Amino acid sequence: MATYDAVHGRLRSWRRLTASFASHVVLLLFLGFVLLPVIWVALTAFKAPKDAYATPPTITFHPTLLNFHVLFQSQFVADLGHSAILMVLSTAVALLLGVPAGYSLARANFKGKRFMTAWLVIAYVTPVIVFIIPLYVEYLKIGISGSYLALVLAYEIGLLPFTIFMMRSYFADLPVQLEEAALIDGCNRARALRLVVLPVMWPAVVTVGILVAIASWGEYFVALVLTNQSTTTAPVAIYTYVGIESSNWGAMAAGSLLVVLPVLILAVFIQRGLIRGLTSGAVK
Amino acid sequence: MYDYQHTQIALFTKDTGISVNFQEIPEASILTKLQAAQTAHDHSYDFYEVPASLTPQYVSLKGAAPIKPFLNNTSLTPSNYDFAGLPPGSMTQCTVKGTLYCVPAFSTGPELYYNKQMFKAAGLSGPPQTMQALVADANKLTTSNQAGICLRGSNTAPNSFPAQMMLLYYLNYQANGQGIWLNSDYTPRLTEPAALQFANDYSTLMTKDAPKGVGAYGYPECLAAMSNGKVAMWLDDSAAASYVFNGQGSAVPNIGYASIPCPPTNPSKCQLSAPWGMFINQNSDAAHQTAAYKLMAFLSSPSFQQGALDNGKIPALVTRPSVLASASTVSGIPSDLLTSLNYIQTHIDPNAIPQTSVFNQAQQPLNVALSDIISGQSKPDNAFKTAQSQITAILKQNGVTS
Amino acid sequence: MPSGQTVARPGGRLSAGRRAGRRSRSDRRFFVLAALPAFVVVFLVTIVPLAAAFGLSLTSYTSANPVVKWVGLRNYKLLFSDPNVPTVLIVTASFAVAAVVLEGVVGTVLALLMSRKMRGVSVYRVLYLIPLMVAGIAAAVSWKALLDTSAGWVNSILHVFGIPQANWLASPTLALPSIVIADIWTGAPVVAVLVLAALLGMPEDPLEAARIDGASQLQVVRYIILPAIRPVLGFAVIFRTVDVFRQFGLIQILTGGGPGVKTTTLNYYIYQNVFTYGNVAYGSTLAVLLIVAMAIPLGIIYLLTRRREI
Repeated sequence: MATYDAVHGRLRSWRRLTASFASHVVLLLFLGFVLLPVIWVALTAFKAPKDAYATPPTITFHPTLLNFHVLFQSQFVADLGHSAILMVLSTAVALLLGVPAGYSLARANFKGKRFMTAWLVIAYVTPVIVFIIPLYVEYLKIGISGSYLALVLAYEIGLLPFTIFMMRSYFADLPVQLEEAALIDGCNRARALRLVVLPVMWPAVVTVGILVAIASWGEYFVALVLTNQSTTTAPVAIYTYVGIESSNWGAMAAGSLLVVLPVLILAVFIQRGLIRGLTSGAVK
Repeated sequence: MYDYQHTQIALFTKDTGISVNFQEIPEASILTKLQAAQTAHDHSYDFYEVPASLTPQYVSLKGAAPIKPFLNNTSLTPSNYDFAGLPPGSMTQCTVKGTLYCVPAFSTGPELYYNKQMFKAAGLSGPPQTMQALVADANKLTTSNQAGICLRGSNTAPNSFPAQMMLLYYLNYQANGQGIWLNSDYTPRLTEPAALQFANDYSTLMTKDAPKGVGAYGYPECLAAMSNGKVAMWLDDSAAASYVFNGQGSAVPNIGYASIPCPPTNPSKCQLSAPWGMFINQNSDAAHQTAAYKLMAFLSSPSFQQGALDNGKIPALVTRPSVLASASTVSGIPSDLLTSLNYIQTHIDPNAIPQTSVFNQAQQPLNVALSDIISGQSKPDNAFKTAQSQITAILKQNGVTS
Repeated sequence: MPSGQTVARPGGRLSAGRRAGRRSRSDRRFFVLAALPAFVVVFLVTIVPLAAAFGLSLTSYTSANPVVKWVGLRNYKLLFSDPNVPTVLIVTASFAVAAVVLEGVVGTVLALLMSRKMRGVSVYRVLYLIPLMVAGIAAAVSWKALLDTSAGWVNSILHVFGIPQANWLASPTLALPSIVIADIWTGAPVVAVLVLAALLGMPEDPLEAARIDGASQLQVVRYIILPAIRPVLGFAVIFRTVDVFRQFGLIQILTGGGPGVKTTTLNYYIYQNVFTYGNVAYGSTLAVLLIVAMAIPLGIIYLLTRRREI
């Protein structure tokens, strides 16, 4: 029996080793896939036009900062600023309005709730192309065309339902005991939400906030149509360098790098918090 | 090209005191943005540039102001502006029902870029003088290291643009036709024998003598291939020439510029010219429209264009034949290019684009047919026959034909 | 605390509702007020465009002829005679099914692998977040450059391994798979992150018990883990399905809907009709079709994977 256990044990750990090895192989392969565009952007941003277009592509080249010069001479830095302002505003609005709404939809049952939910679904699902021209016309009439207000409202068509549904799912997984205790102790719903529920849900709120911020930072189509020169965002500016007659891939890659870099740096810091935030929603 | 305009606009501001807010919009998206802006009657753009072929569309959106009232106002138009010096043949696309709505921003026409070294190596004495010769030469020039010819192949490029340049050489010219390949009653001519001959030649070129993957090629890809010595010929817009001779590819010093002479079926009007036009936004108020007009006059004035030629080395910005002819040699610009540009200017087809805003949509089946020919999905004859019936249906649906 | 309020009882919320019956009126007022601002914002911004879309689909409004003239259901009849519509629907359906299924499977597999306690697993977790962070437009242009037939890295890499190089974006058979691959690049990490979070939050005891009882890894996954993450997976799949239907940037930049119409999805076809051709009325009709068409897959997924609901 001892020998059997010894062999069985060794077989078990051998199997675990190959499973571990196989896991690494699969994860590495997919990682290569994930990193491919990132490496392309990172390298091309430093290539002179001659190298950027070389066929077949070259791995060795003389790095240059030419593309960044081109960017900084244009309005690009200002556009990054516009993107940042828009991101902060959109995220703030999405969270301030969306978190309570998500809580409400998770807990309550009132007349009109179904209608609300259905409308939010339709707003989220409808492609933004359908909205864009009527919105443009409306904004012109009201006189807010091209302003941050106009852009934030347009962004929220997609961001608010997303926030609401995600928060609803998290709140639904939160057991009612916590609020019940607070209510029994004499709080009304509002105070219960603020003092008891939110502190527990904080990681989830942060997670959703980050996802919303990233989405608004990278939004292209709505920004293209609705911004004017004083509010042009970075993604629109990047695409200026991809023309029909000539493309400046180097400048475009440099711009993309600048757009992506802040978020990437953030990713390193928030990775653990993000996972924890998403985890907290699965508390049973 | 637009960078040069941008720098010159500073001079304009100094002269007139009008400050210009120059906004560069992604070229691939400018039509999206302007379409939305025009539908909404936005007046934040006083002056804009879009393809002149879209004039009917913007006119019906009431977004383009007629030019003549400004032109006739002598206080606005200096006498040396010489409006007559802008060739009438290039203005037809800007004209709807006899009224002029835009002025071409640059000159364009079919340009054959060819690699002199490769031609010599293949035993060819010079660039082809007919389309048939082009097809034959492309075959001779295709080796394992290079492709004979590059033509834009992608739907979005669109591939129908260089194709229509060539089609104009195959079909016989109709003065009262609606563009190159529509009869006067808007029936498509794609099933005429000459058109089918083109389809078959196109198929040969694109499946045997073009680079691999040409079906996804747009302008930049062919430009790169030509500049780096991967193809022997490239037929496309003459406006690209400054990107070629100013480029840094290895093959650039060997590149020659030629126009293929007009065929007997169309001896004097065989050059397809489809420029972008400078428009004045009708939604802006009078003062802004006037300022926009002054900018337009500045950008099309003889002095500006002379400067673009001599200093900017951008012959595409020259729309006036007189300016072009005045310089048979300009240092920095290849002389065969100037010859070829002169040829284009004097052989423009004034009637190349039909006067209907449905044309954009009607072109789509042609794009698809060309795509299918390139990828081998359809035989050339069938592809064109399908396109013919689909185009007919689209024109009927939209009320162009009854 | 009174007994009977133990954790994880399925009827937990329902009994809460019953118990709080006394305070229901002020409760309800609070809940309505909490949800109202968000709803009002979305409603006010979308009501006019949606009404316009519905309304315009019943007119003959085009950019060339911007007149609101009633034509009844003519545009809807046009859907049946438009030769592009069947192709567009097939392309949309194929794209959706391929992308969502692959993203779901790949994402779940990755999440399962990343939930193991291995050395360096947190490196993977960080790096796999990258596609979530990259702006859509940057990703689209990068893939266009990578898949370029002659200058693209993908073909160069294949060349090194001796695999024949392919005509990714121009071939009628490979163009749509190319777009699916680019979409998976963004989508699989999203699924992976959401599922991973659920996996990390799963209680250890049932898993340990199963392993002690001699269950193989595969059996553990199949009978314990997958059922537990079904709601999260469903949510992730719904989320990806909506994004796939709304995909625009990849198609515009990679293939422009071509070759031919082989990669024109319904969303892109709407864009072409409204912006390129100026067929606003017909585009609105297609938009209505899209909204209706999305209800089907969303409904199915929702019914298959829903968690306990009110």
